This record gives sequence, structure tokens and C-alpha cells, in this order.
Amino acid sequence: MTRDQLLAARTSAWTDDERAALVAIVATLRPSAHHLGDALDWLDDLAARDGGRPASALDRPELQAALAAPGSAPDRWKRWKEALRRLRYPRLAARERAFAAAVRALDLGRNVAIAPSPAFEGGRVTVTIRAATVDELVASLDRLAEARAADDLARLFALLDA
Amino acid sequence: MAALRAACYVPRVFTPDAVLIERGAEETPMARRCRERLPDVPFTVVEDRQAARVAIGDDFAAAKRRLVLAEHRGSFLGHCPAGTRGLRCCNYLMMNFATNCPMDCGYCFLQEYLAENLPLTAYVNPGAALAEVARVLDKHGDRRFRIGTGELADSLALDPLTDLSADIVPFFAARSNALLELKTKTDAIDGLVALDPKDRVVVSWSLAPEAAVALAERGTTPIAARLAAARRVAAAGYKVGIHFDPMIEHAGWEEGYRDLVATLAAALPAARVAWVSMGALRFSSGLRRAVRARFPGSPLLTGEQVRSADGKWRDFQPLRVAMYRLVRRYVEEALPDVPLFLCMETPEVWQRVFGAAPLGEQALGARLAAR
Repeated sequence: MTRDQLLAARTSAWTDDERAALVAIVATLRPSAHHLGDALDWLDDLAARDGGRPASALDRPELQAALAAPGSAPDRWKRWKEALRRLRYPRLAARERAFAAAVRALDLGRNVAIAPSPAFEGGRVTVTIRAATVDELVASLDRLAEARAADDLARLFALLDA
Repeated sequence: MAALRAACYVPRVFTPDAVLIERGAEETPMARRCRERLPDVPFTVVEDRQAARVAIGDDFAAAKRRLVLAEHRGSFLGHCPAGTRGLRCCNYLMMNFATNCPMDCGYCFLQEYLAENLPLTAYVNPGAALAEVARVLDKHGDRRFRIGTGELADSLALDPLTDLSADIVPFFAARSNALLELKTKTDAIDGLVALDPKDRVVVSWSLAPEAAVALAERGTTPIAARLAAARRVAAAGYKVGIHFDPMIEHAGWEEGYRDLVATLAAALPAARVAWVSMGALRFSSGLRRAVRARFPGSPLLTGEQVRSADGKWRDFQPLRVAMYRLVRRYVEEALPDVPLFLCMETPEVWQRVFGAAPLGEQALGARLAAR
């Protein structure tokens, strides 16, 4: 199904003004049909959950800000869709933000990255250490050891749990 | 509201709008019984199941209102699909005596699975199924089997018409190495209570708080009536299984499950409960599409569901682990020593809920079969 076919099929119950608002966003940000389908699902879900109409979320400041931001169309679409995802998945998004904040608080330096599995499924983290020398590797390991001693790592792993 | 629904509820026998009989099956015992019990329902003979499919059309809800009686060709027995790679399963076999179901639950996988094969069909040759099972049980006399009939159909919804229980309960009652599980959301147990299961039959109910039932289930029996039926079959010598599956997060779910477990424990002695399972609300991508198309705005799709290890969509892991842990606590307090297990979950989730993954599917299955 093309983007236009998808728009027509999925907005048949929308008012003309509502459809026009979405058409303007799609014309500006030019998402693929696949991405647009995700967004339409989430708009429907938000309407079912919050009791409004699917197009109501289009006026949300988070989405308006992403639409008005500078950058290429694909970049702005990515930001717009992410803003919509956070509205659709508020508790997951809050946990992702808490996890990112906990990683920053560890202050492990730019050579160490810690990421949860997508949507926290599987309850694992991936730790990436980049090092060009033995000293860089040892420095990163020392910082991880300090974080462990301070119980900061335990706080991070607690976010993987219920 | 639950009390009101229960008070208004009158036990029902499913009455289809029409019955289509495959040519050649007109004089089978099952067809004769259905004619006797549905004197006001039109019966039509069709050439085969394909003709029945054409006659019934492609409306999923309408297909549930017409019953097809046909011979099943091929194997009746198979492995439960919960044995998907990466998930911990309980080594369960499925025996299909029927497909589709007169009830219409918004989360039901049949909406996708039977999309190309809608007719509500009861197979008129249960003897062939039992002969197939007998061969397996006899060949592996040293193994203990758990066999269920509730995968592609509710185990009891058609029983008032077909009397299938009169064939299969005595069969399993006479077998020492198999346990039959009949899964239902009905209270159609009149046929069962006249039989002696000799501890070889578990009648299981899928239960959820009434608020979740109201969100998701159409045409199912109210919870109070299901529990009353559970009490009757327990008194008649059956073990009872309980499936909190799917567990549906909804406003007040904590209190809903707490009260449901308390009501369950008051209705049934723990010694008669064979097992309790928990499973998260889950959708394949195809089922999500089917639900969106059939029930636009369904609250079932508004949870924070993400794609998990097997490709199905569930509430993201910390949310469902929290649900499992809380309901586990309720169950362990109210029904001590009753085996509790997860359905269609990963070893990681088992670990977080129980502190350990089960030893393996054979061990889990053996523990449940020994109940």
C-alpha cells in the first residue's frame, strides 16, 4: 500500500480539517508508508486510550516542536515519530529516560557505553568499551569498578526489573 | 456490576442459527444428537467442508453462529504452540475435536489463525481421535502425558450439543499415563458431572477480573458462574485448573486480581486445584491487524506492548513481571502448594518472577502431570 493509499484508508473517518493537518505533516516530513502506518496505529491507540480523536495528538506541543525543528525531513520525521512514541508509550519512555540518566550519573567517560535491550525485553544490558591502548581499557575498567563500589551499577540494573 | 451480571445470568446452551452437515456425516451419532437437541434449527447437507466454507462466507462473527459437522481427516494430535523456541514450555499436547468457538474474545488468536478457515466445526469422528491417542499412550507407556482439547476451540462450549465429554472422559479415566485437560470459559458442565473421571481429567477455566472480561470477552460466561461450575466439577471428582491468561492490565487490575484470587480460594479447596498458570496478553502482528480491523479503538491494544523474543507483542517486560509477581503473591497466599507456572514466557522472565527458571519442559510437564 502506498503512503497516499494508506492515508486515504486510515483517515476515512477523520474530518477534512483533521486529514488536512496530517497530510501537511506527511508532505513536509515524507515518511515511508511503513513508518506512517506505525504513526497511524499510535494515533488510533492514543485516541482509544485517552478518549479523544486520532488527530487530537497532532496538536501536542511535543509534535509541533519536532515538526518546526531545523534539519532534514528524515531527521525531523525521526524526532516527530519519537515524540509520538513517547506519548504512546509513556511508562516505557520514562524508564528509558531514567536509564539514560542513570548511565550519565555513572560518569564512565566517553569510551564506555551502556545500553538496555530494546524496550527492556530480555532484561539485559550491553556494555561497550572502546580502547586504543591498554591504559585506556584499564581506565574504563577502573571507572566501572568505582561505579560498582558506589552501588550506582545496582541502581542501574534495578531499572531492568519490575 | 459482577454480582449483577451473575444474578442476571441464565446458563445457556449455544444455539446456532443453522447447522451444515457434510455429506456422509448425516447419520453419525453426533449429528443425530445435534438434531435431537436443536429441533428448531435448520439443518442443511453440504458436499464437503469447502462447500460449507463458501456457504458461510468470510465474516468472522457471523461464522460463529453456524455450526458445521464434518469428518476430520488427518492427525488430531499435536504439540502446543507454546513450545516456540526460546520460550519455556510445559510439554503439552493438543487434541483438536473442533475448530472455532461460539464466543468472541477480542484477544483470541483464532481471529488470525482461522482467518482463512472460519467455520465453527465439530468433528463427527471423535473415535478416530481417541484411537490415535491410544496408539501414542500405548507406545510410550512409561511417559506421562498432559493432553488438552482447548487450543482451536473451547473444550466445552459445544458439549451440550455434541456430548463429546461422554466419549473422552471415560477414555482418559481408563488411562494411567495421561491427564486430560478441558479448557473452557463456559459453565457447560452438566455432561461432565454425571461421569467418573477417576482423577484423570482436569477441567480448567480461564479467569480474569470482571472489568477485564467486560473489556475483552463477548459471549463468555460470567466469572461467578464459571466458579460455581468449577465448584460442581470439583465435587464430582474432577481436578480444576486455573488460567489467568491472558492477564490484562486495566484500571484497578491489582484489586481485581486480588479479589478474584480470594473468590477463587473461597470457592475451591486448594487440594482440588491442579495448577494455576499466568500468561500475559499477547498478540502476533497479524492478530494486532485483525483486532484493529474488527474492533477499532479496542482498549486491548492501548497497553504498552512491545515486540518480545518470539515476535509477539506483550506489555514491556518490567510491567508484566510486576503483574506476574503480584498475582503470584496472591495465589501463593490463598492457594499454598498449588503449582504455578507461566505460559509462553522466556527463562529470563521465569527467573525474575520465581527466582529460577524451571529445570526443563519435561520436568515441568511431569510435575503438572503428576497432580
